[in-house]
Amino acid sequence: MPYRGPTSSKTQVPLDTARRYSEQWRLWNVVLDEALSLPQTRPIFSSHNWSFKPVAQPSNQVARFRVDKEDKPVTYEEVHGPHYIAHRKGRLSLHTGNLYGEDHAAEQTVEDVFLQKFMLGTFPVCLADPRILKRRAHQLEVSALVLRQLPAHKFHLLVGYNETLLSPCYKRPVCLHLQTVPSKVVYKYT
Amino acid sequence: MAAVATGRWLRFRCKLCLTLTCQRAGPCGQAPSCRFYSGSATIPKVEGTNITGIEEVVIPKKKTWDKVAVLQALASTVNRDATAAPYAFQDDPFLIPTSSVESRSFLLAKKSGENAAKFIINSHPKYFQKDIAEPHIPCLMPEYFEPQIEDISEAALRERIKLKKVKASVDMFDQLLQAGTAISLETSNSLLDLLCYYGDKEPSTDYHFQQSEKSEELEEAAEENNKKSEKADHQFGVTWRTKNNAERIFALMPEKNSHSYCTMIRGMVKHRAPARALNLYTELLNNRLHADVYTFNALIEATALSVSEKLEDKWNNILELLKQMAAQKVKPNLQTFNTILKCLQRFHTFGRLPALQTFREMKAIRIEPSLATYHYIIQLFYHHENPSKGSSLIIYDIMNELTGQKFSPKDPDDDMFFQSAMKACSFLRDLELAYQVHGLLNTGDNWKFIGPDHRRNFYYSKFFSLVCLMEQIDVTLKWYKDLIPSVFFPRSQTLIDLLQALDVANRLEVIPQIWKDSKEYGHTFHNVLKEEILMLMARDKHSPELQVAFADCAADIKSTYESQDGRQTAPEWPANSLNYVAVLFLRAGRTQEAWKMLGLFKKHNKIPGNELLNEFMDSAKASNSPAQAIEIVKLASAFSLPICEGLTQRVMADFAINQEQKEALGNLTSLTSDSDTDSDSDINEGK
Repeated sequence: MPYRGPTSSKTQVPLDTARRYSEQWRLWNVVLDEALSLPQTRPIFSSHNWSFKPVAQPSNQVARFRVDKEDKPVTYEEVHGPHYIAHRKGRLSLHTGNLYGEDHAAEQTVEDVFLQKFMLGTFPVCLADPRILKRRAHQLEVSALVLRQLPAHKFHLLVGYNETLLSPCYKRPVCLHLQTVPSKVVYKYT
Repeated sequence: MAAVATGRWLRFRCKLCLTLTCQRAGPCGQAPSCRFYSGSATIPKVEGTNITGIEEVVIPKKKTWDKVAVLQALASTVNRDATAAPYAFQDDPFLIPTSSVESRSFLLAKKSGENAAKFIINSHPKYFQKDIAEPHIPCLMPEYFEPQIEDISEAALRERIKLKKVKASVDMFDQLLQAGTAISLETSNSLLDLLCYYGDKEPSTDYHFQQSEKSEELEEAAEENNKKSEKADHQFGVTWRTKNNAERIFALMPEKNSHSYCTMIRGMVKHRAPARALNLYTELLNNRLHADVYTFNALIEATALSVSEKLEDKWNNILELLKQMAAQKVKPNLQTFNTILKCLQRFHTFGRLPALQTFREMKAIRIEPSLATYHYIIQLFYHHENPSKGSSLIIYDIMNELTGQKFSPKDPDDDMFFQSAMKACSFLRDLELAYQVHGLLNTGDNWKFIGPDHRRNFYYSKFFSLVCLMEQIDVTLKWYKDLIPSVFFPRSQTLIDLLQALDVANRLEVIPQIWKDSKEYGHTFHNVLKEEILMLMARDKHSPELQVAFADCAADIKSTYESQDGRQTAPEWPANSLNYVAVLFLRAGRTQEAWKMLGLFKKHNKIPGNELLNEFMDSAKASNSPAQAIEIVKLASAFSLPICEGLTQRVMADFAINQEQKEALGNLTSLTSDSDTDSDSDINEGK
């Protein structure tokens, strides 16, 4: 059984915006993945052939769907893999930590992971998509797409609770913006 | 080299000066626009030159701006968005409230979520200690509610008082007394303050916004101080028990100064023990101490609260108190006058003259009246009015004085002014005055005085009803779009007023839109409103497009009736509505549904009207079907209506019917004519 690389959870780490995601770079990434992932059946460097060719078989498994029997509904977010970020998808967390000269990128990433899980816990059945986190000056804005499973006053209670609990946690004002949809917005069936 | 350079520099400077002065000397008139100097305060007078027309440059003082000045400037460029919900709600159609009940419950839910979060934070403060905010944000740090000092000492007592723990501080005080330590006067006084403020009960964790809304009459009748409702007490707050902790501690204190007496008096008055307060005041005088102005305010309230005396006696007592106040050289403040006016308000007609005297006195001492002052005066003059007597014109004087003024909050009752002013306007039916009041509301920061939800709703309902009554329809519709629903949710009476205004102005085509809006604001099942709408639509014949729109609206209303029936066991579909809906269907050409409506008449046991049957006959004639005509006659005879004969004759005359049908008709008419004479009187009574 070939070792599939580390599968990530729904969170996506924001990539460095300064780097161009060219084809060559993508292929080199593939090579690195392969080299690090201890293949048992397909060695890259075969003993017979010294011509080093990057193996252009994408075996990335991260956050992608394969077309199967066409009965599972998937959203737009889930259908597009991580290579479509900044092409067909936006990022899940928007901050300036990765720009040249800015710091605290790591802390902000850790906060993002925590916030995604926290929101998943507070709105148990309701979340349709991963939350989008925006950092604007001192403020943290969490935009979430929720299903209409709870009556409206319960949503307001949870919003008040979240905002007041997270603000002293991070010592910055945290705003929650909800948008309700009747059900998960299906893009296609896979 | 350097010399040359300096020479060049000097020449340059001279040239510069010369050019500047030439320019200065030339256009003397427009000197302010051409200032070229950047640094110097005044031009140094050059000796030998006599240049006229040079003014002194005065650099203005540096302006200091508020921290939020930019935001304020930006905010002043935008007006209120009439299509948006208040910002406290999430901006989503599912989460925006559609009625005032819902909006209140959402805000309460949000607040209770916040309270839950604060409870968690304050229970586990050690997880929230890490302070990464630069500069420090105090409101995001956890608060400490548990006393830290554990031993029995005066410092521990002071800490418990600061944390507002009533029972704990009383216990600590007792322990200190038993241990024999002397407690200083200030600490005892602050303990008395705590006890008297909270009336010997713990400060309740219910916040005041959770109390049930009192109606206006209750508000006028009841005291408006302590609003925390406990189980043991009635609706109106904590009452002062005799021999409670405060009195016990007061008796135990070795030395009492005027502060102690004053606190006790104010506590007693706050918690409704006015007689004891007056007794304590006499004790204070016996000890030759002086009371302060707050105590006098409380005593004035106490005299007004005492039940047994007549109004003149009460007023004389108040005047006595004021004389004593002057004798003790205590200056009255705004609260004094407001308290007097509040007490006079309860005296109704008797209090009018003293109120005006008080007001003039206040002006004479040069105390600025607050909105609460004017509120009490308006209440006095306009509250129990009946229109037969002439109404006073004092509100015009008040509004003339207040126009353009900006207020700051000085009295807890300031937010009742606009409500009472608008009530008086609507009583007087004066639209100009209402616009004046509304203009005052929109001046500066006065919008903050509109008060809590129910008061705001009352104000705007009255205002909008007055606008509907007195203003032209276009302006009314503009106000409608502006105010509803972003400012207040209309009650059904408001919508009925609007419909009547539309009726008067002959703009009935807006009615389907109003019905759609009423459904959104939660009036779907309000029968009176629906009848009014149907009546207005069905009264006259209109153009065909309008009839179609009306028929759609009627179908919608019909479906709401049906869903209402489905939920309740006893169907309550009024006869008038059935009539109107059927008429509207007929006129729009939806004859199938109209005939179904006739069936519904029998089902709900209601009698169709005469005009309705005539219209059905007309439509049957138009579609040229004698069968339908006979149906109608049968229906009429089933209800034993007197119009049956007229209908029969009409059928015979207008339609081509064969012999059997004629016989059947004849039978019907004979049946009805027999029972007609007997049941004629009954039917007339029933109609």
